[in-house]
Amino acid sequence: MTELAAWNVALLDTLLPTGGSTGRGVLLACDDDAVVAAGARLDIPRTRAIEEFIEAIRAGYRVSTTLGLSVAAEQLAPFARQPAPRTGPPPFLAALCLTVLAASHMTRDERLSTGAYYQRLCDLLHIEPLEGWPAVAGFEDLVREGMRLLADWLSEDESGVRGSLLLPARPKPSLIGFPISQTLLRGRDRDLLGVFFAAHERHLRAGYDPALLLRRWSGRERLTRPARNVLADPQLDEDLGAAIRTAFAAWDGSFVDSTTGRRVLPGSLRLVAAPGRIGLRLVVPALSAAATASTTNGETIPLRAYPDAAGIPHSVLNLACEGPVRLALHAREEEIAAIPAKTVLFELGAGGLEQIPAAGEEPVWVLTCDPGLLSAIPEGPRHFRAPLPSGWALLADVKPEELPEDVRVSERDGVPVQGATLTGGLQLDAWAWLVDYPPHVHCDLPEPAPVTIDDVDHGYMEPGEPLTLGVLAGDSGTHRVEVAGLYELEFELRESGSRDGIGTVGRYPQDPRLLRAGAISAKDAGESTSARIVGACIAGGPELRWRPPLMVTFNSTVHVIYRDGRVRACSPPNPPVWLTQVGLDRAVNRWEIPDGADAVWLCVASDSHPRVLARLEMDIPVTDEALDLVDWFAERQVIGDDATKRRWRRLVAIAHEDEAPGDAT
Amino acid sequence: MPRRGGARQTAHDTLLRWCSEVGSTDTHQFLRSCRELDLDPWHAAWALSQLGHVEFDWRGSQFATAPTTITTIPGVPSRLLLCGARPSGLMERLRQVADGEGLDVMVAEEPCHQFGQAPSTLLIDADPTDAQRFAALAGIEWVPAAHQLLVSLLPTVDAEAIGEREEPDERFPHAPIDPDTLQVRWDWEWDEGRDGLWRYRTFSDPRAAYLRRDGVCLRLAAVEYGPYVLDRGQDVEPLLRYQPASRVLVVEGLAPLPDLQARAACLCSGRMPLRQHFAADVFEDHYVNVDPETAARIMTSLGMEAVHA
Repeated sequence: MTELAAWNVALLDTLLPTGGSTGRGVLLACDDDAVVAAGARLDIPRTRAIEEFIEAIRAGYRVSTTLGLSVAAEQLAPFARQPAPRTGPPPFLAALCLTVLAASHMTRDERLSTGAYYQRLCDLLHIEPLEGWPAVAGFEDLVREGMRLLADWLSEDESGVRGSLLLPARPKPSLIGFPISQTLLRGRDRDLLGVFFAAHERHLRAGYDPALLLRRWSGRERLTRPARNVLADPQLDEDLGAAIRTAFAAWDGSFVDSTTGRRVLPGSLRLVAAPGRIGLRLVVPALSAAATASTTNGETIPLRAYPDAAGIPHSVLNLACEGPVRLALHAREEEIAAIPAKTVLFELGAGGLEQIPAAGEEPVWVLTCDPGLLSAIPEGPRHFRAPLPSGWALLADVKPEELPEDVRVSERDGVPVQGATLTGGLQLDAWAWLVDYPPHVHCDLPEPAPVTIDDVDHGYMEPGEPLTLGVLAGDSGTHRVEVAGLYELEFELRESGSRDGIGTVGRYPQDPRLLRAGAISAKDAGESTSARIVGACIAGGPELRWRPPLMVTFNSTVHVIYRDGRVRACSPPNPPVWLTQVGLDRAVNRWEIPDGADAVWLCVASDSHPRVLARLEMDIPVTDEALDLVDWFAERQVIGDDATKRRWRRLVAIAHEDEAPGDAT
Repeated sequence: MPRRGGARQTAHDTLLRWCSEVGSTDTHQFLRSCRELDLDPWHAAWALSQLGHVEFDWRGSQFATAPTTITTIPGVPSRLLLCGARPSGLMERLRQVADGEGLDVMVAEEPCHQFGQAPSTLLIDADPTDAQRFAALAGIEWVPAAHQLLVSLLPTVDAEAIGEREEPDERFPHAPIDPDTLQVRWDWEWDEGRDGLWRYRTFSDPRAAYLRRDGVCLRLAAVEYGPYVLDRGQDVEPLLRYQPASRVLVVEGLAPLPDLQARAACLCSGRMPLRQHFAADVFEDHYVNVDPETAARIMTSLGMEAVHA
């Protein structure tokens, strides 16, 4: 396949893909982004795509000022004579795309009016315009006949699976109106799109319909008339949306300032914050080569090609006290937005502190000269100590709520939405939520949309506002939400989840290697045989000699006789103070007999029901204190079997013998 | 965070229930659930970990709920503490086991709140003699005196054990930590490379702690170890005090206990420490019902003498 033939196929699949377009009107909307996308199919880097495309045309058609596009036009008749169905795209497709590409470049600048089409085409082809009309040889046949042949091929040979080419019946101007009619967005429109992208970047990233957003954009009146016509034609919605998405994907962040007419390249600041030193560095994503810029007071600043950052002097901050700081690029009609305002926010990125447009939920670092903000955060540990211009300070760990409203974002701003999605709630798995915490519905519809929940009308949901499904809380089972008759969402509310993986993360404090890791998964811990702690569950540790304590519920003093003949009086304890403090003192009616494992007899000194209980079936050594106690409880009821009672009676007998007068001496 | 303590308490209990139902998943999902419940995710994770409910592997971006476990608490032998997973229907199941098997176990009707700071405490009124059988019948873990077992596993912390030699990335903001107040001093102009404790805000770890000592730089396994391996003067207040009469372990607010030491202290009661404020950013955490042996082992594991106040 020749180079030109490869471009033909790539452009066809990029601009007129099969599927989804059957029977629909389509345009051959070739612009820079489309050529870049087609080039990507041929593994051509984006920076070289346009250049290589032009070179393929020039070489394939032997383009010169004299020949122009005549060689391409010579392909028309042989193609028209081929019997149907003709496989493969028309061989002159790339040439047609070039004519549309030239139209897409039309803009208003110093040399050219919007209508100077031929000059654009000649610039692309690196040729001079001819004196007569048309200014490029072969152009008339190529455009008039080529467009018709392409339309026929799409509708007949391809049976409309790539759509039907929309051609004007009476193009204006009569000839160049053909390629101009195919452009959705012209160069001037694409410049304006930068402003549109800057204004709606968040919404576009969130998946909102770009055509609808553009239609509602306040700057739409500045678009060219053809673009406004496209915008007004609902039949072209899908093509326009695709074109805007492609342009947005290729957007380098730049836009044209409507007051100065200059292109503005956004910069992003980086901070190096070390004790006693703050380094201010600037990155410009749209800067593909090193350049020099200067401030409004003439200071020259060398800049580096993206992704490298260039150091900028602190003196630039003095200018920021008055408003946003822009640096004028030398020898270019472009400016760099260096400092956006008197308060600049930073968060931690892979390369250190990186500028962010607004604070979300996490604390941020703030470089500011805003007196209100500085007074709200007084001198102290959070003021980074390093020399900065007068009135400026770097503040560490500023919480979003400490910041002015205009530099904060809500969580909702960041929710990516395409179509309708379920977000929030307490999610158990892909399509199940905890029964009491159902999800919310977000959708990208720009207008209020009717909602049904489980086939019951539920009013309307407002654009940009989530729909809470609190009405379903507690109602376990499968539910279905339908939005505007377009989106159906089915999910389940459940009492329980999978409970998979319980206990799979643990700690290994005895393993020197794993001690440093903190909690890690069993898989990452490998073959460690060290003791493992998971919550309060401990495995592999030393054997603890824990024995269950002897618990009683008596509401009176208990005298205990131990196996060694010791005696101890135990009373129901008061609940520990900490239990009372934390409100857990209620219902403590069970209490411990100290050294309960050695207790043989429990003598309960209850007023209403004094009694004796045996804990162990064994004899005890006879001690004075034990016999005193036995004597005291000699007549009390003994709870237990006959053997127990016999042992108690023996003790009583010994106690009484002990008390005999002769014995006492 | 929800303003009212009651609402916060419900949120913490719900979060534990959700963790228990999920079992294990990624920490991003945990953060989203915290936001849904209007809870500070870092505080919630700290509480769940200290109380032995959930283990967080932040570097691996995952968490796993711990198995449901009953253990004893010192000085209150009639109460068993329930830790770990607390899925739906757990209490009902425990009640059925206790009633059905005729065990001397009474499952509390109501868990005890934590003043909206953590999941409620769940204590079971039981004769510990029956605990092992009760746990086996209920299909949960039984670990008597988990606090004692845990402290018996704590190695003595020193800089070499919990630090790895690593030079920090100077692109990230960093500042020294005041050895007296333990505050991060972004307003100090210390020489780079000066001995002491340094805090770095790196992309992968916004709380990275480095200890520079005698020309060697160690990255600490956890920021909480920092104050305990830092060379502090002899005359400064100790970071830990133990009050044996009230069985309270007092921890300096800016020197929170490392995870396992904190968990051992919490398992003595099932309670989060009570925070005592003295001034803005000046506070102490009081761990209640810590028995002398556990307190002593926590202190010695952190390289301190077990001196009782």
